[in-house]
Amino acid sequence: MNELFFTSEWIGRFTDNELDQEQEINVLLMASQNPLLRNELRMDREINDMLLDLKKSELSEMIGNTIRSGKQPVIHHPLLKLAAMAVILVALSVLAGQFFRNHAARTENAPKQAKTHSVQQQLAFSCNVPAMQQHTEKTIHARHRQADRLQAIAENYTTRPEYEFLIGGITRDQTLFLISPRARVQCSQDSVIIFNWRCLSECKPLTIEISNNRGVCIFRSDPLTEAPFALPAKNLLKGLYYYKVLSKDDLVTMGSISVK
Amino acid sequence: MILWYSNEMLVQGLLQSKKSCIEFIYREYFPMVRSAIGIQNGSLADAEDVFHDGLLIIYGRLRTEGFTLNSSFKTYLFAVCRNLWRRRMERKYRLMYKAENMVSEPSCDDSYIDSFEEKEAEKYRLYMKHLKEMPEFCRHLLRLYIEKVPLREIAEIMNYKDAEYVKARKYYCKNLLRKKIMSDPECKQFMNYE
Repeated sequence: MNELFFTSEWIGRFTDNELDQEQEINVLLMASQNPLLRNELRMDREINDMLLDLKKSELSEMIGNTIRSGKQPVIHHPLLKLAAMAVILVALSVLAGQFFRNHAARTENAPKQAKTHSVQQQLAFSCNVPAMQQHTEKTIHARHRQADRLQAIAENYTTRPEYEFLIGGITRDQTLFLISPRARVQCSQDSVIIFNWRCLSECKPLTIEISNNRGVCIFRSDPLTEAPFALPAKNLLKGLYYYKVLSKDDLVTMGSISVK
Repeated sequence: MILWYSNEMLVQGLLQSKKSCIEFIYREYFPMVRSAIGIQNGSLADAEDVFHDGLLIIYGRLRTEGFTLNSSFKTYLFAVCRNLWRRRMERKYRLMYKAENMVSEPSCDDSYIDSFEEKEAEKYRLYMKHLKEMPEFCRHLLRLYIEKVPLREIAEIMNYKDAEYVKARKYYCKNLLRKKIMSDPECKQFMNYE
C-alpha cells in the first residue's frame, strides 16, 4: 500500500471519501508521519472546494478575462461623452465657418491674385539654372578679383634685391651727411617724410629720387640747395619704395620707405 | 448596454457574476486602484492581482449573511484593495528584512482584511491560474465534474470506457494540478500548513 499511497488515486479517493474505514485509518496514520503528504491532502481538499464552488470560479474567470481583455479604451460617463461631442461639434462648426469666410474672401480677390506669380512660375523661377550659374560665376569672379587685389598688394611690398644691399650709408661725398630719414622708414599715407642733411663745407645741390620696388622712378625733385625737404606720403600708394639722394649724378645715400 | 450602475446594481451584478457589470467595475474603478498601487511602487501586474483578489473578497463578504455595504461600492473596493496591497507590502517587507514590529492601521473597520482572507484570495487566484494552464481534456473533465455531471455521462462525452476510468483520469488531472501548484514559487508561501 505504501507505494500506492502517494499515487493520485489514493489521495483523490481519500478526499472523495471513497476509502473504507481501514484504508482511511492507514492514510491518516501515514499522513501523521509525513508532512508532505499532509500538505498534498489538504491541497487536494482545497482544490476540490475550489472546483465545487462553481459561482466563485466563474466569477474569478470572468474577472481574469476582463482584466486580460481590458486594454480597451476607457468609456467615460455618458454626460462626459455628451459634453465631449458638443465641444467637438462647436469646434467643427467654427472651423467650417472660418473655411467658408476664407473661401469667399479668396473668390473676391481672385483678379488681384492673377497678377501674382503662380506656383509653377515660382518653381520655374527658383529652378532657373542659367541664372543660378550666372550668380555662381559672379561670385567666383568677385573672389578672383579679391585674390588678385591681395596678390597685387603683396607684390607692392616685394623687395628689390639689387637695391636692398645698397641701403645704408653709401656715400662718395664725405662732406655731406643725411640726418633724416633713416635708412628704412615705415610710415602711413598721412605722414610726411622729412629729408634733412648737413654739409661740412659748401653744399652742392641735391636731388631726391623716389622709385618703386620695380625700379621705376616715380618722383624726382629739382636740385635742392637748402635743407630740409618735406615729402608728403599721401602721394604714394601703399607699397615699398626706395629713395635715392643724389649730388649731381653721384649717389650720396639710399634707403627704403614702406608705406602701410 | 447600461453605461452607469448604481450601488445596488453593482452588488447584484457581482453576486450574479454579470459580465457587463464586471466590465463596468474594471473600466471605471481599476484606474483608481492602479494609480494607488503605482504610487506605492507597485507594478501593473500587482494592481491587476490586487483588483482581482479585492473583488473576490468583496464577493465572499457579500455572500455572508448579515453583511451590508455601508459606503459606496467604489469607496469600499478602493479601501479593500488598498488594505490588500498594504498587507502584501508588509508581508514582502517581512520576508525581505525580517522586520516583525511593523505597524499596520486599517483605514476603516469596515474594509479591514485579515491575514486569512487575504491569503485565501491570493491562493484562490493562483489555483485558478494553474487550472487554466491545464491540458484541454483535464479542464473539460474537471468542468464536467464541477457541474456535477454523472460519471457515466462524462465517460460518454469524453469517449472513456467506463466511470472508473473517468475517476482515474480525474485523480490524474487533480494530481497534475497539485504538482503544478507545488512547483510554482509564488505558491510556496501556502505550502507550509503546519
